[in-house]
Amino acid sequence: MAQGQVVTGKVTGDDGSTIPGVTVLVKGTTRGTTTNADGDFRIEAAPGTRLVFSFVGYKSQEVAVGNQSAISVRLEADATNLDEVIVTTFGTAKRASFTGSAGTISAENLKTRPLTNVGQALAGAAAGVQTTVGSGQPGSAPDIRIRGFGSYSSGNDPLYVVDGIPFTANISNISPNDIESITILKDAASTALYGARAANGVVVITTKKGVKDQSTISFRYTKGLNTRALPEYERVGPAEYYPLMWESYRNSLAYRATSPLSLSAANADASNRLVSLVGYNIYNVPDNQLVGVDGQLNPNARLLYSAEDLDWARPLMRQGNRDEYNLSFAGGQNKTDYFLSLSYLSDKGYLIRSDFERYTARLNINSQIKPWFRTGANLSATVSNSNQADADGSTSFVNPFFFARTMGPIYPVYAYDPANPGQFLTLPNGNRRYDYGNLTALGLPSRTQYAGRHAIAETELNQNYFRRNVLSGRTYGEVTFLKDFKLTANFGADITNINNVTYGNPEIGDGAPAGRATHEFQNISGYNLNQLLNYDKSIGKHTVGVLLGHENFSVTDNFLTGSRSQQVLDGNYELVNFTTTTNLNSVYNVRRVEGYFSRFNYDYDQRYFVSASVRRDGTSKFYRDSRWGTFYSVSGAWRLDQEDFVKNIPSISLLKLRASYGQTGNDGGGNTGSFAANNTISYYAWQPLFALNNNNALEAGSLQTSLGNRDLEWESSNSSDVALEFGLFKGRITGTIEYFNRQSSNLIFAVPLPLSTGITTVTRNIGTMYNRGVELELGLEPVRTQGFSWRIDLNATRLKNQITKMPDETPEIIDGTKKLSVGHSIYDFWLREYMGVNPATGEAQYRANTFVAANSRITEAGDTVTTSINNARFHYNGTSIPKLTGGITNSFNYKGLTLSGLLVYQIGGKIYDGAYAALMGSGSYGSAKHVDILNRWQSSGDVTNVPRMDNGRTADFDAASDRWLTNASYLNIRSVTLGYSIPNTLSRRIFVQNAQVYISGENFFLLSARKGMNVQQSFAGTTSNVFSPAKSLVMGISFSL
Amino acid sequence: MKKIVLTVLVGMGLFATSCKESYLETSPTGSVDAGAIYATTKNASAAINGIYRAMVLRYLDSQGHFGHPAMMIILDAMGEDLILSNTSNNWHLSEQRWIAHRSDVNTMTRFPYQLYYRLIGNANLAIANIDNATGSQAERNQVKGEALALRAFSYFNLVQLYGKRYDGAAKPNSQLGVPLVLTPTTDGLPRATVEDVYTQINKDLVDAAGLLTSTRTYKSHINLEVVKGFQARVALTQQNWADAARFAAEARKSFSLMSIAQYQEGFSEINNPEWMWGFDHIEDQSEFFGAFHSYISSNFNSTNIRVTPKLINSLVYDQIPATDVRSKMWVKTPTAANSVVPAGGLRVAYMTQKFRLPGTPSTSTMGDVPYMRAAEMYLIEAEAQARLGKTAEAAGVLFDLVSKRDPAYVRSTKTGTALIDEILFHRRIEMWGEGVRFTDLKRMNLPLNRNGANHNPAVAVIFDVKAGDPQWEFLFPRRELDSNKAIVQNPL
Repeated sequence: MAQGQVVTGKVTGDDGSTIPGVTVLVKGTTRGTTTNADGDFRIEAAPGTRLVFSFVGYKSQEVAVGNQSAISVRLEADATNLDEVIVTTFGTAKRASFTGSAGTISAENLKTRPLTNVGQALAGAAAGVQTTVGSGQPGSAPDIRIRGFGSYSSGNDPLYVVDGIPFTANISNISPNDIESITILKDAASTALYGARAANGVVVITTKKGVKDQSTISFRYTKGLNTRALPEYERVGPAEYYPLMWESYRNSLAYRATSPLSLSAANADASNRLVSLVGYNIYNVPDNQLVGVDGQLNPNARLLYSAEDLDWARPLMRQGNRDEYNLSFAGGQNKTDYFLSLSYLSDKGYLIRSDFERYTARLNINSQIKPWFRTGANLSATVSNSNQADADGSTSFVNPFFFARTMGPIYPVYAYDPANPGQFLTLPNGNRRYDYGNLTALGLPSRTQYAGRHAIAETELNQNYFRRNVLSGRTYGEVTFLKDFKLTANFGADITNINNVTYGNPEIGDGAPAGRATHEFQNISGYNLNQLLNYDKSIGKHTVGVLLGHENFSVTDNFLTGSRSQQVLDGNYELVNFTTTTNLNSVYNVRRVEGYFSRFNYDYDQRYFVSASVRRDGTSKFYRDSRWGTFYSVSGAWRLDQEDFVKNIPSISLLKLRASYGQTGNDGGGNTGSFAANNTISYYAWQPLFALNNNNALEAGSLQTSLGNRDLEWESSNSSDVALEFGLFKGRITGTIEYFNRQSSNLIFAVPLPLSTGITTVTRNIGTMYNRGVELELGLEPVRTQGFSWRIDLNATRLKNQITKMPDETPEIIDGTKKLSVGHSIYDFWLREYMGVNPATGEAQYRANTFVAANSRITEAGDTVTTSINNARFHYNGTSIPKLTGGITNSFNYKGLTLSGLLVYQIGGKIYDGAYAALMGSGSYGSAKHVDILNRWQSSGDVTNVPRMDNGRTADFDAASDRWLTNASYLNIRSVTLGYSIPNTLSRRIFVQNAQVYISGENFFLLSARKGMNVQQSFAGTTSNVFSPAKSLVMGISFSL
Repeated sequence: MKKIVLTVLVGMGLFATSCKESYLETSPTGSVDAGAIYATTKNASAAINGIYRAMVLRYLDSQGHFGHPAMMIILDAMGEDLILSNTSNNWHLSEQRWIAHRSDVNTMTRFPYQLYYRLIGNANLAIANIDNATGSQAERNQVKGEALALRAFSYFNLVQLYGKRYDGAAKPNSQLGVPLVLTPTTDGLPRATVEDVYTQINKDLVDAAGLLTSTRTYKSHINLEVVKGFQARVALTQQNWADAARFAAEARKSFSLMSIAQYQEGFSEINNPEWMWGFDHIEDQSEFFGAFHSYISSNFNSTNIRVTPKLINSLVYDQIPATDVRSKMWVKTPTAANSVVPAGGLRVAYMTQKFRLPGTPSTSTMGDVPYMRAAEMYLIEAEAQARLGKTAEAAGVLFDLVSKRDPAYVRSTKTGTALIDEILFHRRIEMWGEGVRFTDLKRMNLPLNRNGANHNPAVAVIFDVKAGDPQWEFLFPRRELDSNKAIVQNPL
């Protein structure tokens, strides 16, 4: 290596402030440095070399060294990122010339966040992207919607494309550390080449590559912990609980329709019977004196247990450790570049027995083997092991969230000693014995709530885990010929092998008394082959690009499941250790898509851009006469800033107008037959079928499952998009304002048939709806001074979803708390109208359908109200779709110290808080109650919104109605990162560079209308007893060599 | 040049992978094409077996609504004889409280409706398509006969729940029953009258009787005797005493009653000589917690059985002589010595021991389900004869049955209402848990009266419902009202 002279200098911005952290590289070598906190650098460089100065947000600059020993450089701000290359469909595009609509997330945005699943990065990141909060289960991803909800039954998940090929494995198999960029393609112009799979938008993930002549070894380590993000709902304690139960029983006698008891008789009976109703008396007074005939807790009653003894959540929770190691080697020589990355993640949930462990390795090699031939391969292997919480069924006993939430406050976790109340029974090993709620043989009472079940013990003793191996490969060959032509063949395969195991212990719960286990083995193989012919030509100011292509896609799944019961030995969960086979089955499914496509791009003088694309797609999901569809797009852009009349306005640095129109499709996709059948459109949707496996003892049996429909075809989405991109005041203000109109037609409905026809639905293409909205993205730099900068990126989306056509047979479809009909959104609430409480009787009142003397009255206000739920009238009441959603990122930068925070918000919209409703029941002995129940009606004249406690009227009083709707606005601090980049002058002393230490938190704060409410649980605006979201805090260090 | 030629060849080769049309032709492995199922009688018999299986599947994803066996428990829980001991386990609690079947959005209004119409829909497909199936005429007759009988069975269940009771003195019974769907359709039909529904049921049963024989390989299938059993049940409900007596006698002819020992074997084995028709539960078709014995047995290890054992009405139980084997089907003062419960199971006074799975503790999840027993035919015949005034015949048939249960039983000398009451008493204890009490009360136009027995007010809530009250009718499910505009709801 030629020894050079020492060059020193200072790097400043165009406002004169110095810029620390600027990379200074001797061109063509791996030697480089970064500027220190004062913007100064020092480097050895030979006279004939050139120095390259680069820094995010600024245009790179090259300076010839020559004889100079001092070089000062002024970098020009480039907040518009016009040269940014974004990865699009079957290729890349420069941001400046792109005619479509896309949001991007770079590696820079991802690297300091403790993301286990890539999907978590999408929240708040771009306008038009909505996400749920996701589950607290490590490794899980939130749901993602791009520009609203275009389908009722074919699914609204976007298509994931990894390194140019649709990804058929779970995205949790990708290590976020391997990601170079994520592009979210939103409009038809940018997605139409994915034709039938593109209607819900496309998330394009590109993994890292090596850079020629820049060999690096990078290392990152993060250490952190997960805890529960949301508090529990506020629930009443034992002292309030017993009188409530007393009252519920007393009222069920005193107010019953036939032969009611007198109040005094009912009071006496309630006081006598109370403890038998709930099972436990955890006070030091006799059972029949616990609550007096006045309904008050005995003033002398003292609790026998501490609050801790009665807390079912605490033993289930922990601080879950999170450790992540990433090591990568990147570089390239001559005509070959490589990237090798290894990573390990161990992410333990805050709930016991929930974790996610992942080993990933990725090797990406590209080589220009011949001047006319380039090839490469990108291979990754992922091994994941995960313990899964049993939180799937919202009301399954085994679900720890349901169990702990709804357990009455009077039931001890551990078995107390009936001989010595206040003392606990112990097991031979000295541990406290759990109170299963049915230890009557030991002299304990029987718990009314979930007797014989114990979610803590069951979580400890059961198993539910998967082991998953994923091999994912991408390879291509690219031939350049006749100067302007390029032929590329891409092949990709994603092969998942997964083993799911569930085990029910023989001691307590669903597996008792014999023990049972289920093993599922599944192979999911996705193959994709595409051929692309590109022609690119520039003649003078004209640039033309043409693409012709063909794609074959197939995904198969082979699923084998076996269950056995009667466990032989403890601690072995393999089926060989069980004696009786209770289920053994396998199925094989295949789905295929084939498409031909073409794109034409033209631009004149980098000022006017037009683009058009067309794709013809066939899918195996539909009958042969209906399976082919044609999808297309046209789009254009006009760089106004290249026109003289704008160039003259110095404050405008970018002005671009673009518009697109196109049609894309949706066939429901799915990577396994069962996923598609249960969540979108069955692989075999057109076929009339009888299901096998309905055997009658030893005889083969088959049952009608679907009517089929040969006319079934694609759902299509016609989208238009108009946007203005701008940059003002040297990039101090940048932004995009965009209008989109996404018209979905041919919507597939499982049209409800009368149940009396013997089959519940038929699948038809009926219905249209639109998603219209405005998106705003704005980047502001209020402060950009020497050493300190502050940047705000905010995005906001206003969305309107409306159904414009419904099936003639069923112009209205009621689906849970929603009703679909013309003029309403797919998430408009349709509920019985709650009219408060009758002050005289304490009964819940609803607006009546008709006046029925037995249950109706006319109020002073003239409303006809009823106390019978069957006579209650339904009405529309709001929607779960918010008025405004978005994210705000604030970044502060001070001499290598950075602080950034992402806020995600939603304004407007309603949520049906079903989990709260379950805590507000007027009966259910033993079930936990929300503190709001203390506002119940108690005696004539009480004015309240909470009906009387009455175990005999739960059907009327607790019914689903708009009583349970709440404002769904929220503010969530999704992530906060504080980082410090150690100046290289310092880090060099320990032979590292680009060293950074940081501390980062996810999901730290949530403000919503009700404490404990999981307001971001679902787009449909409902809550249930799911794995409540986690918050995490990590510390990390990264450096390269 | 070589390079260009090579490139073009490779390029064409790659594009040529565009495939044959068959590339996009796929078919499932878990299902068969509907066209194939009625192509042959062999396939068609699989479809019939599918219907029998559909009788025991879970509906609406609800564990406690496991087909017809769930209805057997629920209809008894709605009466006064089958008592849920507490509120610890919620399954069938709102049914016992008469709430569930009176809420149009409750599972309970939709479940039996969807269940029986699913059986009807599949039976209609068989009836409509079997004539063209390849196979022998005998095989076609078998399929059609079973389909007709299953359709009649389903309509009989539906009309008793959703229609007002059949009044034999008020013919034609013009009150609204249920839609009479007799061919495969996707259209919603209006409610037919109760009279029309019964006319169709009787016609289907006559047709089925003409097609079926006594021969069958498995007791899970309907044969001629079972059809006659249906005819006896239907005639009894229509207060057609003569037919009821005649069909009941014919139906039971080839079946013997259980011995005292067999009676105590747990009502979970289809090979029992008294069982005329049932479901044969085998290991790999287990529904675990969604099955008959998971809710009605004394010893299945489910939360429901452990914490909420089922009781018999104490007023009824206390009348059973100690010499009667049926007194052992419930235990007034249960102890570990005199009663079987699952590990950790509660013991409550008057708890049942009638239905029991093998083994102690039982680890079985398989109990066969009795759909029809010869004893019921004796009781139908006795009741019908008694109502016809044929006291001697009635007392004789009753003696034939009860003497098998109670060796000390003395032939009844009662007459008139007293004799009928005695027969009904035996019907209550003999058929407990098998799903006849609600429909018995309804067909006889009796009130619900739970007073004075071991009903817990916190559980039962409802103690009285007068005869003829609108609450005797199930409401039509909201789901049907929404998709079938021709339906008129029952009075609220």
